[in-house]
Order: sequence, then C-alpha cells, then structure tokens
Amino acid sequence: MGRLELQATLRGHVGTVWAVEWSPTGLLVSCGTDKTIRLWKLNPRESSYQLITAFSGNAFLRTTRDLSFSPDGRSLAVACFDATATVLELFGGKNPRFDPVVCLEGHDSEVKSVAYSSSGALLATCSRDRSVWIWEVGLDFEYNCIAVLHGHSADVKHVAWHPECELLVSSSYDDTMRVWVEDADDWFCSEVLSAHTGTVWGVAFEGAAMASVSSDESLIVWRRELVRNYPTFRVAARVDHLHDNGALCVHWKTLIASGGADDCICILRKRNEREQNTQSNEQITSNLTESWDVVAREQRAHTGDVNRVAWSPVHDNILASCGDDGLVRVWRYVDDDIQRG
Amino acid sequence: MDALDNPNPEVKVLSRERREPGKPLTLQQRVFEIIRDIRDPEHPHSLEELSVVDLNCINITNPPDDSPGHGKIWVSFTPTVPHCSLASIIGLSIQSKIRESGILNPKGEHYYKLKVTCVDGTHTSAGEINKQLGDKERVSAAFENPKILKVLRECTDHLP
Repeated sequence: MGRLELQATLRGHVGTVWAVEWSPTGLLVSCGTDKTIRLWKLNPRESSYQLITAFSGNAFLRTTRDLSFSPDGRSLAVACFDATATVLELFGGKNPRFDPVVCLEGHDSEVKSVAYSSSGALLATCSRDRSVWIWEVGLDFEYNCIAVLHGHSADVKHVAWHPECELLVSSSYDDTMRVWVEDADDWFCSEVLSAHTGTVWGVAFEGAAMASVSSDESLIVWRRELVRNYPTFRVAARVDHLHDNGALCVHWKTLIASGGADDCICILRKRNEREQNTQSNEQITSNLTESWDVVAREQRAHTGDVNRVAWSPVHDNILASCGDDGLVRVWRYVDDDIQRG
Repeated sequence: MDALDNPNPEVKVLSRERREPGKPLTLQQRVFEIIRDIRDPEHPHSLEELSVVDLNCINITNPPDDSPGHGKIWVSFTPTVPHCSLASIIGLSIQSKIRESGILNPKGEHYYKLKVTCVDGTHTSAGEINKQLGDKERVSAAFENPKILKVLRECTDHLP
C-alpha cells in the first residue's frame, strides 16, 4: 500500500480550477472559471511553488477549460467555453510570460479539450458541437484545420493522442469513445468503444495502452491487440465503483491516478505476474487479463470535485491536482511497501 | 414564446404562514425558502404554487459527525406537465439560487454537494434532463450563456 503526501497548495484562482498541466521541463500551468492562466514554478531550495506569471487579458470571454503544452514547451493551447482555442507562446528567460499568438475559430460552441500530438505536428480540439477538429501546426504558429470529424452524437469531452503514432481517441457525453486514424490524408473513425455506461470524462495513454474514466464511476484499462490482423482496443481490466458520483479525470505514468466527484484521488497499481496467479473468479469468467489495485486513496484531496490529475514528467511520483475548491495541489506518492523493504 | 406547454396550470392557494416564529429553520426548510418563490418560466406563478417543489422534495444527507467530509442536498422537482420544454431551465434556476445562497459552503469543516433532478416518470425525457442537470460542465457553461442567463433572470430577478 501507499499514500499521498501533500507537498504544496497553490492559491490564487477564483472559482473552479478545471485543468492543471506540466510543461516538458516541469513548470505547472492551471486554468479555470476565472479565465486566467497561471504558471507556477518549483523553488527547489524551499521546495515550494511560486507563481511566475498570470495571463488573462481579454483573450478569453468565458471559462478556460483545458490546456496542452506542445512537446517543445513553447506553445500552450487553451480550450475556452467561448468556442475558441487560443495558442499562447511562452517566452522563457528570467521573467517568463505568455503572449497570445493565434486564436483558432470554427467550433460552434464550447471547446472542451485540446491536445498536441507527441510530435507536436498536430493539435486536436473538441467541442459541445459534437465534432473533433485536427489542426496541422506549421512554422511561425500557422495552424490549418485538416479534418473535421463527426460521429459522436453529443458533446465531446476529451481528446488524447497515442504517444507513439498519429492515433487520436475522443470521449463523449454519448457514453462512447472513438478512435480516429489517418489513411492517405483522410481521417476516419476506426473503432467505437462502448464499454462505459455514462459520460466518458477522461482518457490517458501509456505506451499503446490507455485508461478511461466515466460518470458510471468506473475506470477501464484498454490494451491494443491484433484481432484478425487489425489493431483493436480491448478491455484488459475494469475497476468499478472507484469514485462515487462519477470519475472525472485520469492520468497514467506507471501508476494510474484518478480523481472524481467524491473529492478523492486514487492511485492504482497493476498487480504483478506472481500476484496475478491468485486471479479472482470474476476475472476468469470475464476474460479480463489484468488486475489493478487501489494502493492509495486520498479521501478529501479537495473540498469539492477533483477535476484533473497529472503526473510530473520530470519528477518521479509527483502528482498535481485541481478542483472545484479553487486550489491546485501537488502530492508525492509514497510506496510504504518499498520503504519497508 | 409562441404556445405555452401548459396553458392552464393548476395553482395551489398558499397560506403565507411560513413557519413557527422564533424557531430556527432546519437546513431542509432553509433550502425550501431559497427555491419556493422562483417563478415558473412560463407563468406568473411560483414553483411552490405550481407544486413543482415542496418541502418534502428536498432530501438532506448530513455530513459525517466525526470526520471531515461532505453532506448532500438533493432536490427532486416535478414539472407541471410531462412534456414541459422548460424543465431544464427550472432545474438550472434551482441550482443557481442554491449555489448563490452560500448554503452549500457553510463555515467550518463541512460542506454540501448539490443534486437537482426531476422526479422519475414526471417527464417524457426525465432521463435526458437528469443527465444534463448532472453534467457539471454543461451546467457551468449554461451559467455563462447570455441567452440562458436571460431566461434564468426572468425566473429569479424578483427574489431577494
């Protein structure tokens, strides 16, 4: 078993904080209903975080919902309920600051999620208008829409790219996930995944595997396998009743972190081969191939829904979270089993 | 508005005797005070007069005594007619008044989560409406939408 140790509480946002993301170098950025983007930096000497810049201006007319850093850390895409996605450039140096460089228009209503592909060549956006858009990122912040993808029958809540290839997964209020791939410049839906029975709020990849969470309170682990020579996502594990009133967010870096409307953060670990021998009957009958155990549960991580969790790309076992209580928090996962040796 | 969904609603005659004087209100009564006078989007009557809400439609689960945690306030309303196109607006107006009141976040350790639904079987698309009202992202976007805000204001502007 393990536990989460609170490292820092970052105050400043007014109202719900909807998203928190790490830059490739370990800066922390957050956004929410106050239409302000805040950038935080760890001060290693004091092991505390300080605000290094806040950007609001008149760029955002409504709630800022989601964030994605380009892999080079220079661009930050922001999804806004005003039906736009805005790209901010982050100027480095001693006094970092954000400057808006391009506003992507085209969606009919709230943009709910943004995601850069791992190469940085593509940006995906999705909206209340049921569509997913793919933008090609050119030199000098030139963005061209190369595909408008229809298929979902309701709001598209989240988009996530496969980390190694140009494969996109979108999740929706229609309870499904869709897999989008390209063939000869044409983007199309290669699979519809319907294992959830409620809105699918979040999707996170690790390698070729992904995890999804839903208002049906469950988390599902998916593996991609060849079925009749065609790569297909299959349910490898499912954890039911993980978050009362709905699971809202998920992130995966060896360990899976999830947050929900029960104000909790859960950390899940895959049971190893040796432990795997003691398979439950349920698992044998349902063809699930792996088991995931909740190794830590922080009961009251926030005083309100936990809207996002994100593992740090540069530090081991460091997790950021944000919630309806207006706070951003940084946690360290401590594995008590390892400590005991 | 062209045609009304429910042109002749039944209107309850209310005695305005609201509570026993001097006795502090329970949380359930306080929530009822916040929502009873919300105006129906279609009629010049209150939700209480139209029997959309009453005291018993408010369900309270108290937070745990001994540990920090949240309680729940659940309001289940009854649309005036099963095809009422404004049921979502009624649900949103109940949510907005309760959120504004600060009753969900009293001082101290405890806080409340709010759920607003229409009673099963009282609306032809109750499932759909309840899914919408339970979607925190849709609800918060609705509160920023000028068209929806205008309708909500018509239901609640006369309130203190």
